[in-house]
Amino acid sequence: MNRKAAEPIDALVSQLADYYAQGTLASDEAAADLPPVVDHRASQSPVKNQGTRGTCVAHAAMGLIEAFPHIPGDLSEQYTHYKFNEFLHWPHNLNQGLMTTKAAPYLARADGRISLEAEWPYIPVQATIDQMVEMGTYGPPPAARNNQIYGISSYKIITDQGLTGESIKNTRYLESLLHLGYSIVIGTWVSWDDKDNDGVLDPVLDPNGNPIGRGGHAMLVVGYNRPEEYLMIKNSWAPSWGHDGYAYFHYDLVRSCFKYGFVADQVVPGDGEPVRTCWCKRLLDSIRQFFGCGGPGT
Amino acid sequence: MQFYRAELVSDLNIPVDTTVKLESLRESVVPPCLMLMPFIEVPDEIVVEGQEALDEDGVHGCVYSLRAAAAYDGEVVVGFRDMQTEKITHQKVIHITASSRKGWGERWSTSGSPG
Repeated sequence: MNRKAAEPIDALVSQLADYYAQGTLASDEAAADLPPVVDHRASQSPVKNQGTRGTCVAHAAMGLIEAFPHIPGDLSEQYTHYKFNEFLHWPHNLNQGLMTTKAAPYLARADGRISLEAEWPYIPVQATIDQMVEMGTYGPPPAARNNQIYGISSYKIITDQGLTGESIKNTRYLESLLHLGYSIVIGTWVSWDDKDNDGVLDPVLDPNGNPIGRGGHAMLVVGYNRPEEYLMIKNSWAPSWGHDGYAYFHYDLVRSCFKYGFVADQVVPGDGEPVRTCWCKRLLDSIRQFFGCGGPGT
Repeated sequence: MQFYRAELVSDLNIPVDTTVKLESLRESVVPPCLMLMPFIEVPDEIVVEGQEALDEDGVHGCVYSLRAAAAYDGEVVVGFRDMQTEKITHQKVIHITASSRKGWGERWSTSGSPG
């Protein structure tokens, strides 16, 4: 596991190690004291719509940060995706997506902070962005540039370790994190029959048990229902999709299609910290970053 | 190795016995484009040596390794099929020239890669 100052996550979740160490296929008798249902949907920001762009990672990551009670519920996915492309040295208008787990370290960078949605609203159509690039008008407005505030300061990457232990495919591990109050950004293969999106989605697999669909998608896991064996997942395909914008993923879909994910222990600014940074702090952060001394996220 | 993006090129020039990377078309993973399979149709003179999935979440696509086995002047087709209906959802025809002329590769490689 890659970690970044995430010991509190490990310290907390390790208390439930007896539960998740047995793996996702263990019998339910060892269900520890976890409640049968955990549902964090009430504390989520509204479901958004990524339109026709491949910005699911930006949406899932912003959903994670917005779920912290002291963070405003509408951060700029537009700026987030723009920064992802910038960090990868890709053209700003490239509709290329991002490996989900790269979002955590990017949003932990001192120069990876994001503004409010109102300061750079989301543009749902790629052609609009391409046109703006051609005209030389594409980029963060001054209000967004001057208010780069929100990010992640502590996170943990969860990899695919199979069906037991600290693995993205181990539903018991995911249940443990959700029970402790974490939401989980995940990357998954899209291999389900979407006409069933208002029910519980099952995987579509080949004869060897591998997902048929090979497109990757990022979403935010916000709850589970163990008796009915599904996770509740916030998507970014508008509230009209699924269960008011949420998916119910059967545990078999998790076991066969989840690739990786991450959780955030702390975000920036921390609870109680002043929301607005003054120009001198931003300057200081830039100087620190320039000289490699590290900013708040390093 | 030269790298090209299918959505940005309409002509490819490959010296014979040379391998290039060609990224397939890219489509966002949003309804109704959820289960798409990239495909490429090539003549016998062009060999698909490999196909790697994209690392990125959010888009469908892959990167092909193409080698010109013999001189050729014609077309390749790249696109996507819907895996549930088997229907072609997107496609693009790219003109391809595989030439064994001496010095062609050098002149071609300095023309720059759109990718």
